[in-house]
Amino acid sequence: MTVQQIIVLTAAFWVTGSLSFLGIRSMRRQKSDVSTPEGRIWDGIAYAFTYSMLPGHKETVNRHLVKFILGVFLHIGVFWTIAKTAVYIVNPAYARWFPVISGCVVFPGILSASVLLVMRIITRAMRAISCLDDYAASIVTIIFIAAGFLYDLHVVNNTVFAGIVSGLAVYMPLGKLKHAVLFFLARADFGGRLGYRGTYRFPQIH
Amino acid sequence: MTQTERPGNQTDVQKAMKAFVSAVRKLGPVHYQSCVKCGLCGETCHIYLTDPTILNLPVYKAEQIMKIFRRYYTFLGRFLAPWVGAQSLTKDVLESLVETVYGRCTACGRCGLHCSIGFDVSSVIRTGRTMLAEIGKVPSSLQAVVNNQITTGNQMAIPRRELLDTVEWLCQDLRLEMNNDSVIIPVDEPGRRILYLINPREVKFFPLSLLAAAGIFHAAQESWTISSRFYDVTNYGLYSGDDTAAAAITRQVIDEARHLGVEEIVLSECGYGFRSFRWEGPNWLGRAYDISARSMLYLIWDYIDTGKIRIDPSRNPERITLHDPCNLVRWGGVSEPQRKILKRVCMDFQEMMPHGADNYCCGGGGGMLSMSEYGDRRILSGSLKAEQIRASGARIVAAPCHNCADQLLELNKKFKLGVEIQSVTEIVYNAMVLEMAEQSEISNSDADDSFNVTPSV
Repeated sequence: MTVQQIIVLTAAFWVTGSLSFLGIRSMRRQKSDVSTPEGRIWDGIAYAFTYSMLPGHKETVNRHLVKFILGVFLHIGVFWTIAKTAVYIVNPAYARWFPVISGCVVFPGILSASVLLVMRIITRAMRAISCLDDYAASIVTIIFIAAGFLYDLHVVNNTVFAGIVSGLAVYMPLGKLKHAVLFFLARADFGGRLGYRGTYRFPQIH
Repeated sequence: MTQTERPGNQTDVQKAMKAFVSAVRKLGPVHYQSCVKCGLCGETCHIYLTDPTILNLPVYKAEQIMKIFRRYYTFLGRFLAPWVGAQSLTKDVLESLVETVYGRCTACGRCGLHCSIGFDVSSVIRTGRTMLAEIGKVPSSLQAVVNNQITTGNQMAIPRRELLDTVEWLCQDLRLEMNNDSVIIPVDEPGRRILYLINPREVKFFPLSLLAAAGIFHAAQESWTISSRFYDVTNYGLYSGDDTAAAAITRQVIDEARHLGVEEIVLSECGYGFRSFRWEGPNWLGRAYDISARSMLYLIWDYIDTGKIRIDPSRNPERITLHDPCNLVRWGGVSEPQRKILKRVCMDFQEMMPHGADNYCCGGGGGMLSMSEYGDRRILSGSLKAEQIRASGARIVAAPCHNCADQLLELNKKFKLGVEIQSVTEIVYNAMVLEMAEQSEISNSDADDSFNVTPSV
């Protein structure tokens, strides 16, 4: 194992450990609900991660289809690069196996992330709700995806790629990027609560 | 140290901070730090849609609370606050929160359902109300209602005599309508099966709703009573953010139910009353109830479904649409019985779009009806509901919440909708086949057994 791989592996441990710790702490609640349930928590969670997220149902999707599609491309790019990083830890050479597919997946991700960043900058309402961390999170993400893409093209070498990935991993639990874990927890928690009350029933026909 | 951070002003800040910490523990920290600030929640909010200023954007409102969280709960917030937009809690911050959390949000929760992440936006905003309630910054008009509930047992401070007088003339009317002298509205009768909680608005403004409920109970030969002391189904502690007051109000009712020895508490059509009592109440008290509680809508559906009351839908020939109160449907999980009922009791039922848990708030929730200072915004935000009603083509709007009914009446007038606002109970009563002579005989002969009739009014 090379030094770069050890660095990335250490970063992976850090990000996994810290996000797990954060996730556990975030879900700590003083007391559980003592009211008598009307539905099932798991129904609510299942509903929250399926029907509730469908474009036809979710207004934040169907009223903002362009932003939604950009977001989807961005996240595909992120997940692809995370997968690439995992492969990199095993063998850096393997991480360059699919350069064409990688380009097709990652390039739209980079573009999408860039467009979303520009939209955040030029839209008055978005500026009003954004802080430096919001911009930084976008920039760091673009760099991360781009690093993966350029690594495939041999423009970025092992050391630079390992440095960028490690930098992202260090920053991830500190700012907005922690939503990588909190998204699942918040949605599960809220969905579960609505399932408990019988609001979210799975399947539900409306 | 700024003026607002001097020790003389610290007490309020410290109290608010304590309330904040407690609220975070109750809701769970995850909801205060999941937001990615995508800004897409705006178009799910009736207040933002009708007045699209940044101040009305749900994420902007929630952000006023979340930045306090970041300041005290996150590493970067503690050591590099500007980077993550963290904000220390000061008296000025608390002052600025008042309009944000009371005047620009009805806590309807629609934004949370459609949130990209799916965190509980409105409960985060309610944390602001909890903090402000702790330091006495609840708008006075709203606080007055809470005080009424604590001191008199009902939000409108209706004297006991007035309730009894109203019940008396309602009872007389009901006897005439049902052609049955044995009809009673039992008050403070111990040992009945059901304690029926009503919205004090039913005593003051919507007596037909109480009359209809009494008629249905009589027809179903139900054993029921109302209390003359603690009959208020509502709980304004939910809106003010004062969990201690909310617990005290809940306790009054539970103790009254125990005192009367009832088996079940049935909650009249009231969205926030249902949510408060059914879902939040046990958590405010810290223990599950030893008496079951359910909405009147479930009970009516049981009566219809089991044939305890007979229905003739042709008595409701006009098109009826249904308003879904946020606290009943989205927060309360009650969306089916009212639909089953309406489909059975009228000839032409038309859903609004959107409906169910996706409904739009009427604009009168969150205590808005009490806070006259935000009256213009309340009416403006209700324009979306007015459009929905108009689009439904209905002549009657079924509103299973008297708070919403108040707002809908105003919207009806303001936007010239030309509709009638009725409770589901009233619509059912209108469709009920009374079978007067037969019913009269049954009631007269069985009255002592089935009702243990003691004219209490």
